[in-house]
Amino acid sequence: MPKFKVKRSSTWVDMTAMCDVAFLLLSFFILTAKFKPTEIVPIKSPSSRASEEVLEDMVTFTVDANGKTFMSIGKPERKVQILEKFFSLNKEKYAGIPITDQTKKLFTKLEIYGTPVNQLPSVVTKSSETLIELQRSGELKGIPTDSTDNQLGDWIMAIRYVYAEQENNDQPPIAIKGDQETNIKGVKRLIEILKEKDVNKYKLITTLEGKVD
Amino acid sequence: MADIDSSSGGGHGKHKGGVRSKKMSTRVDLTPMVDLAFLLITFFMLTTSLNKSVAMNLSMPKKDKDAPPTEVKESKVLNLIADKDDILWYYPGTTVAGLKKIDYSPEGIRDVILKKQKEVKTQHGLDEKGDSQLIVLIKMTDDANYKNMVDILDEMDITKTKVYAIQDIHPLEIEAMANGGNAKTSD
Repeated sequence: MPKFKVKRSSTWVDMTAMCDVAFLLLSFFILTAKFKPTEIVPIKSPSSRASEEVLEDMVTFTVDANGKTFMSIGKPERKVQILEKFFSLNKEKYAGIPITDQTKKLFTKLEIYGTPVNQLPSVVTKSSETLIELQRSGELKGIPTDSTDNQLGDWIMAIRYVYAEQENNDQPPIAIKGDQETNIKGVKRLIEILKEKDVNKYKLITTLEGKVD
Repeated sequence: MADIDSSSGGGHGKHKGGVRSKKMSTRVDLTPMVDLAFLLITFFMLTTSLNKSVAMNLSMPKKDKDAPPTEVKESKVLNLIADKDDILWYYPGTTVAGLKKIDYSPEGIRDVILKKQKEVKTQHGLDEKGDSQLIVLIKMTDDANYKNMVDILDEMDITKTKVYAIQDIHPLEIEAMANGGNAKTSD
């Protein structure tokens, strides 16, 4: 009986091409990924099914876990305009606060603002590392919202003026970002003030459903 | 790896008696490298999608004190009250009575809304656009958290409820919640 010889072929698979593709994809994802900057005010947003994209040019009001309100303005050039409007609208109320050109310049670089306005000149000089520390120890007091000293309302008014003048936009692009654990009172008060100032449309920033980070 | 060295016959025919330098295979096993690369890809893909924030639109009614309150049919209304510790109360209609506790799970809030939608549909039909005519009034107690609010608003989107409003809580409702569902019968 003739022996039937099974031809043995090498099981070696050339992995070079696969390796190339894998690293190409890897470098693509790394380069396109936007890294989340360390936030001064860390927020755990609640998740939702909403799918609207978050725009860059937005004024975001953040309510942190302790119910304090912070403001961040998306467009750098709007920051100075809003700051100037804020002081020109409330000349008497905030007369004692020294606002120099240097303060304005630093305010543009400020990522997020959340103190009573009398602390503004000092808070803008601080680095984000210091601000993270201050927020952690609870020394950033948030923008005052109570009816006796409603600075938040004044800021919203300034924002409305600036967007109406610059972009002819009656409803400024405002977003609310809240920590999922925060008491509803802070958010409620914010919505109340927005309503007072005739801002009726805004966005709530959430994360995608099922993926709470 | 099952690897058959195919380079063994490579050096034959050269200097018959000389010292034959052994030719090593230049092939490198890339399998672990590919493994690593795909692992990293998976990692980066997962982490990038985690940080994506999305926005939810919210429109509130204009502040207009002179405007008369909108008349609504009682049978179209469903009230949701978010309480502390993720408790949710609901009652139909405009009379504060018979509050029931539910939770934020699909079997809780969603079933209640869908059931009410069916009721409204059989009684009033759908509106011009084919949406439910159900009106949901959302109320938040001071002890509720922000997640509760977003959850309820999300549920409005899921159940395609188009008419809803966030309102202030009524003292009677607070009383009813404290009494476990029913307000004290007033004299």
